[in-house]
Amino acid sequence: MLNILFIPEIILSIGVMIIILFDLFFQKQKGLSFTLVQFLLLIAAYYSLNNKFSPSYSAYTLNEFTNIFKFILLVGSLTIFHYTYKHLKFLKILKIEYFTISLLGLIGTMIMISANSLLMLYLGIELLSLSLYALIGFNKKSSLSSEAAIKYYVLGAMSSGILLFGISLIYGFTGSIAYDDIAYQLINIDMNSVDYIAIIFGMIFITASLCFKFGAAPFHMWVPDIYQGSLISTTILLSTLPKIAVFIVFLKLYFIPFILLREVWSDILIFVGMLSIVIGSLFALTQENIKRLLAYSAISNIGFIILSLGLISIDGIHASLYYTVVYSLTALASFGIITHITSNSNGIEKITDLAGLSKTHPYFAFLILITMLSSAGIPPLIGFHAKLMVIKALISSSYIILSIIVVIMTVVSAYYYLKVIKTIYFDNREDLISTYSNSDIVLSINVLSLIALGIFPYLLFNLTSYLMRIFSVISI
Amino acid sequence: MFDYPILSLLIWIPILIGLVLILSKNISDNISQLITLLTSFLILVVSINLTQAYDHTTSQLQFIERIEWISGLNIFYYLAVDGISVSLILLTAFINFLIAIYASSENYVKKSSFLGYFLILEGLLIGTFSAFDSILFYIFFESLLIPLFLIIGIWGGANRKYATLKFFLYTLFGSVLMLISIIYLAKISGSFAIQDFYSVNLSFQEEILILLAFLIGFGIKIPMWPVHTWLPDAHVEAPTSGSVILASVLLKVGGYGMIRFMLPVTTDAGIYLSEYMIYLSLIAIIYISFVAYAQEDMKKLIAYSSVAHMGFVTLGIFLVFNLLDSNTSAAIIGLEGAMVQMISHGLISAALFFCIGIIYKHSKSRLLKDNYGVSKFMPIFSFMMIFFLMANSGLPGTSGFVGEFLVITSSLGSSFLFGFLAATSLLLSASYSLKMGKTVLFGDNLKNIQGYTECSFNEKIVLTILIIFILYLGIIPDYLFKIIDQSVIGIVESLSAGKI
Repeated sequence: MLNILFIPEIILSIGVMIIILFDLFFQKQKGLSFTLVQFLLLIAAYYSLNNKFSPSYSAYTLNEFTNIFKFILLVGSLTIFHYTYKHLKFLKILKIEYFTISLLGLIGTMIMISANSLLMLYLGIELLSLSLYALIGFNKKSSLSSEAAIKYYVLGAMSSGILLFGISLIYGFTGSIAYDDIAYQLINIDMNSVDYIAIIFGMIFITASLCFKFGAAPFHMWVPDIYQGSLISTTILLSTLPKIAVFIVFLKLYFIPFILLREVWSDILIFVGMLSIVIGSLFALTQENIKRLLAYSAISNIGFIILSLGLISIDGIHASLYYTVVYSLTALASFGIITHITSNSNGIEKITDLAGLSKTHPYFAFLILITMLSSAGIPPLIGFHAKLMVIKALISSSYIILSIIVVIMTVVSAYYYLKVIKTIYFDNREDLISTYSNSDIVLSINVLSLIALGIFPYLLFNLTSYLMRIFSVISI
Repeated sequence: MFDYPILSLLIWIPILIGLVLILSKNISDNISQLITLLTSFLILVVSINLTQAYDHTTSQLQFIERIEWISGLNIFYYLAVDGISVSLILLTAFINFLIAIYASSENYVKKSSFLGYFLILEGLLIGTFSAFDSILFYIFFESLLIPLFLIIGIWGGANRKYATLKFFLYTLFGSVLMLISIIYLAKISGSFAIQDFYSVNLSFQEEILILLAFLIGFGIKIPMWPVHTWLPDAHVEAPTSGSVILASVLLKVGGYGMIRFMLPVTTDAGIYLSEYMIYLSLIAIIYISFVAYAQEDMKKLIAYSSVAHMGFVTLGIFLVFNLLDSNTSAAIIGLEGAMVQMISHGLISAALFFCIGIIYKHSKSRLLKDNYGVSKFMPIFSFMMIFFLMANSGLPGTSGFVGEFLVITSSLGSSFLFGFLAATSLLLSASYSLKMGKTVLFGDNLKNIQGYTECSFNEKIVLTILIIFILYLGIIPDYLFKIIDQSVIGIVESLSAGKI
């Protein structure tokens, strides 16, 4: 039973405690503490792929599928922390608590991925949300940050309440909170009974709450404000880790317990997905703040993921998996670059702050060019392949009209990505922007992967089709 | 045949060298010029080799490179050429070489990046003309926008921001619709290879919709009336070399796409709609010629003249639909005319944009009213420019005449009205071309504009080479016909066979 000590969640939990204690006694040694954090993540990443422990109860599962995603999360956080450390140091608000709280959130996301019962899911989501409330309000100097934290707290608490309400409805009418058991109970329920309607209601409540966490329209109102209010480093975290985790929750929830209700949720997901794409693309047009712009861009990207999940086809699930990985990679890159650029010794806020970047910092300008074009879905970058797969899935499910709307929205969204490029390459500005390093190896790898995977898309494609295979084994 | 992947080399060598030029810091202008000249010369030599090794007695695809690229999606890295591709690849390499010569006597900020983007553009263009997997084609087709966007945006004129966004979004809009039809066709045929699309069975309604998507996609690129408005804006703001590559090669991508996709895939719908499409082309030829006559800006004038000339290309292509049932030989003549017109317009428009660039360099204005009596100061240049203007108006003996003559002949085979309307272009294009020549070259220099000096050695070389080839294609167009003949006949015959 000693094996249980070596699952990444346990390693992280123990490690976080140690780091908190260490930081308490060695306040000055921030660099050392941060190295410990990185070391801890590396160990956890190693054991996430090599854990030998398989639990025999159903509330929590560890299998290859969850392992790979935990590995992705851990490597992602390693990258995020790398960007964050430099950024916080530059802003002179470096505190190790920031990383310990983030690590707790990370544990939350891992619990969400592994959860196999609704209650476990709730615990994971709460752990994640509580850490995010703290992280969003981390910048005490800024009133926007506190406002964002309160906003997210109030809305998040309400959404958790709705989630619990949905869970209790499901529990009340199926008598179970375990994923497999719910699926089994649903077989026996008559389509015309009150029970069935109540279960549908429960599922819709859960869906609404999860869509809130995902930041999908029509539950997206918080996204731009919170992205804008928090530090960019928090925004990177917000736009990657929870999205991956919620995506896995979507995947598991809809294809294991609620698979029999697919006619209901398929329509809901397609609607939510389309609405997110349209709102995300149209509302981004008038944004002047780069964080708000990326927030709306995130909403429309989430729309693509949800839409392709709603198609309930192999192509659709594969497209959503692929899109999630690509989206996280792109979001990491685009926010990562922005953490590096500073304007008048502050972070970048407005798009116009970036004007003339190509003249002063051609390297960073080139990186932004690549990420923006990839987000806009221009080949030969990886973003194109992701959009291609979604459109292909739509067409093979015979949603021609939807696919036309989707591509028109990509043209609309290309406009604001191009606006950023235009500002960087074609505009000039008097006061110069600066960066706190001339180049960054992690960032370069991150951005170049967008090109490399665009030219050799089969590398990522093979990974996702492998994930598809193991997922289908789990769900069926 | 070659024992190395010649098409891949043609595509990737310029792209890689271009990337190096863009990304390398502190590379001096002279070295980057030299690298660009050598690379584009190498590509020109290799593509001449390709043309000579190309077996023009057959319409079969040649120099095939086919590797599985994304196995799960059935997408291949599939390159090949037929006569149509070969001629356009040669044009691309040729024009890029001329640009490299011309640009080396110019001064630009960050010249190495400027030249680098042109090399990338060259590689992507060759890729577009040789891709036979539809997704690969789409990737090259779409990537073309990036370097051109940056060329116009960084080195362009005052209103460049508006022009670049308009140009990018217009073409992106057209191409995403095309992407949907490609995916739909692939869904039915089970493969992304372009040739597998030729044999799919579509219902009539589907075919109409797919035809419209292709028409919008390629029609914006070529551009056809009424979706041509991005072109004058882009031309006016683009730097000279940017205008040259845009007019002479990038527009041809639209025509190439029509021949490659629209003709064989949506034949029945095309036959049904051919009259409307022919009228669209005729409007482009006649109405846009009048618009061109009214322009005050030289670049706009030539841009509109490009639209009018591309009207001949689309007319030649759509005549194939119209004549397929009745008169196959006229259909072949029409398609050949479209091809010749594309190549010849590639040369003539390039020459004219070079000329305008040279004038602009001296007078810092592209307006007709600011440029008078250039011939007094630049006699040799004026001789060359008036020659190009004559060629532009379709003077017999120049390449401009051959294409238009063939298309008009073919349209007479369809109906007298079409032939008559198309032939008015000879008059109209002469009127705006000569108007420009009269004012700019021979006008009375009342305002006493000074500062014109005879053009430099590089510019003379570029213009002389262009004169030689325009004359060559005009007097002995045989070689070009030899290359394209079998492929054109192959396409038309397979169409009429498919119909029966």
